[in-house]
Amino acid sequence: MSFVQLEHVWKVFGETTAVNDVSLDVKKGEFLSLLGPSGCGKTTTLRIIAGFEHPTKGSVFIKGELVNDVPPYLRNTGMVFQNYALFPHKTVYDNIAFGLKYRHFPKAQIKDKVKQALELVQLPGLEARYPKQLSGGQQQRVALARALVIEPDVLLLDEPLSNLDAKLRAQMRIELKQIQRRIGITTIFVTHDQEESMTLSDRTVVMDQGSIVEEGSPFQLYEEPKSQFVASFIGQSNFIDGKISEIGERDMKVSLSAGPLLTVPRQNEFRKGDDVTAFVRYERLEVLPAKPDDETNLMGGVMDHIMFLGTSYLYRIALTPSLMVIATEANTRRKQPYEKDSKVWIRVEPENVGLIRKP
Amino acid sequence: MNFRGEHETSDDRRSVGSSIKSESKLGGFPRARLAPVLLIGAGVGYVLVFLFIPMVLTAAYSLEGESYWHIFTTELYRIVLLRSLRVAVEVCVASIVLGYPVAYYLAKLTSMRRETVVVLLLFPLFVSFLIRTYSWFYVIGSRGLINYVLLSVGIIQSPIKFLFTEGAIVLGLTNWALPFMILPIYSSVDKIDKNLIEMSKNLGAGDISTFWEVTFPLSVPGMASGVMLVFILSFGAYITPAILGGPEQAMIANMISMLFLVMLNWPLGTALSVILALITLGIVYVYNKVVGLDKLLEAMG
Repeated sequence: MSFVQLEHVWKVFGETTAVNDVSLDVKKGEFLSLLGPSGCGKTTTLRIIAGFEHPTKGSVFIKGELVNDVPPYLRNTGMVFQNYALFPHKTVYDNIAFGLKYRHFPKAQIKDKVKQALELVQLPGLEARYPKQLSGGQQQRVALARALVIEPDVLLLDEPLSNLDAKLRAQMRIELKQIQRRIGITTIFVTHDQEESMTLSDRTVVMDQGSIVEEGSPFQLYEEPKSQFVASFIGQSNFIDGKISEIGERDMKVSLSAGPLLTVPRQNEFRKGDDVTAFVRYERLEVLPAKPDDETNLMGGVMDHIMFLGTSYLYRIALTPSLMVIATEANTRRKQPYEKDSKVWIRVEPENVGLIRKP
Repeated sequence: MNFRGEHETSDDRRSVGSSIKSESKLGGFPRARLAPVLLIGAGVGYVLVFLFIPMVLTAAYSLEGESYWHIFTTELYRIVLLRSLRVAVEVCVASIVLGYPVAYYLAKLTSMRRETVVVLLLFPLFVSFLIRTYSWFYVIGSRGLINYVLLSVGIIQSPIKFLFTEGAIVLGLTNWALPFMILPIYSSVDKIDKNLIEMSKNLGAGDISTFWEVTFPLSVPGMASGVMLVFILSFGAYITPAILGGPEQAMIANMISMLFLVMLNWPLGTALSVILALITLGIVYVYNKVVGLDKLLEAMG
């Protein structure tokens, strides 16, 4: 049963359509992320669920109840903003106690709950501090404690990790996930960071220009994207246009507009003559110094550019003077590095070629 | 170049904004040290000659005879001082009560409409001060608009005396000082992070609770700026009490003027001036301790 549900929700601001017919089902306890570039409507969608924006059209249900006309202060949602939005003139205690006060808990109980919430986010004993006296990471935890202490039906996170530095972000990511698992709270997480959404969520909804493009588990979206937008937004890929030129028993051939033929496993949804875009992830493109025996999906090229990234190398290889592909290779220190302008071979396993139907 | 030279160079770049690499000195001063002196010299000189020195002379004059003793032991001066303080406080309260809602409304407007309203707010300041003050005669005078209406409706038989009262002074000063209260409050309300308001509602506080929990406390610095400006302007006001208050409602500035020009008693006049200046400075000092003068610049900018 869906816990939070959006039915054909639209939001129009003057001339711009921020949210374009979005329908969403979030299950109880699920960690769902809304992923997309800035301006894709993900934050507006979250704000509609929180009640800060009224949908122009469509319905929002929380726990099966229509909440379109319920003001934010009567919806039981917990929110964490990107800038944390801690009340600067209130202590950590008063910040966390705020929601409890308006839920009319007795004082003694508020005190206990604030204490527990601070323990949950591993900041015990900081009740008397003011937000200014806390580090960015601590402020983030207080904001999370403040959202969780009211035991909301759904936790809404608007890019909560984006203001932290890289190391702290990675650490908070793990912690956030652990806390979410432990208390089993339904969570909707807005982010533009594909890695963040992959590591945190049970399910990712990719949005672009106000609409949902695709949704699925992180694995599905990475391995079997149905659109070029998702294939390029999640992970890094080479894209080459082509046409299905031959369908065999187990394989089919894609003739690329750039010339060569690619062999891919047969997929029943494609017919001969279909226009497709083939894509290969950077890390699935093999780079070889010498011509191998197996010539399936093998192409020769010239090393055009080499970038050393520490854990890996990134190569740009010219197949023809105008067609470049990019490959990454783990830095295993086993072999002689390539040299610029040297002749190399690239190969891709048939199952590592993705196909997207051209619209 | 030694280490010290390096250090000075980086300092200079920060203060002057140009990259003076040489250690060239002018009369023992690095050239870059001279630049600030040249930049602010004229202004400082002006203040020094025409304001600071006269003030020192005033203070020196005031010590002649027993003028301070005389002021503190004479009832008239106590009455005038107290009236000035009372009027200043009343104007502050009236400006907050009238100005806060306007400032709040202004902060909620879209930027285009906001410009229009700000121009409307400042418009009275473009009208000659004397004209504005005298025009109150038409409203609150014995044959002014209010008395005329009340008389013709028959609520009263003889005109009520509004003019030449303390109330008239407060009315006139509030009218004048209101923008100086509204603008700082507006600025502080406008600066409040919208997320804080939404957060408050998200946590269960309604519109009114959110105002008292978040908006109001965070606008207190703006209000303090407004209070400081309005208090100082009202406390030392001269024209408004002279016109709307008349001789029997004189405030401290009117008293000073009278001592200087009518009674030719310079020691007393200067002593009263020093008291006015000290009280004003005291308020600025307290404001700076509690809120910080930099906040005032923020509020006006």
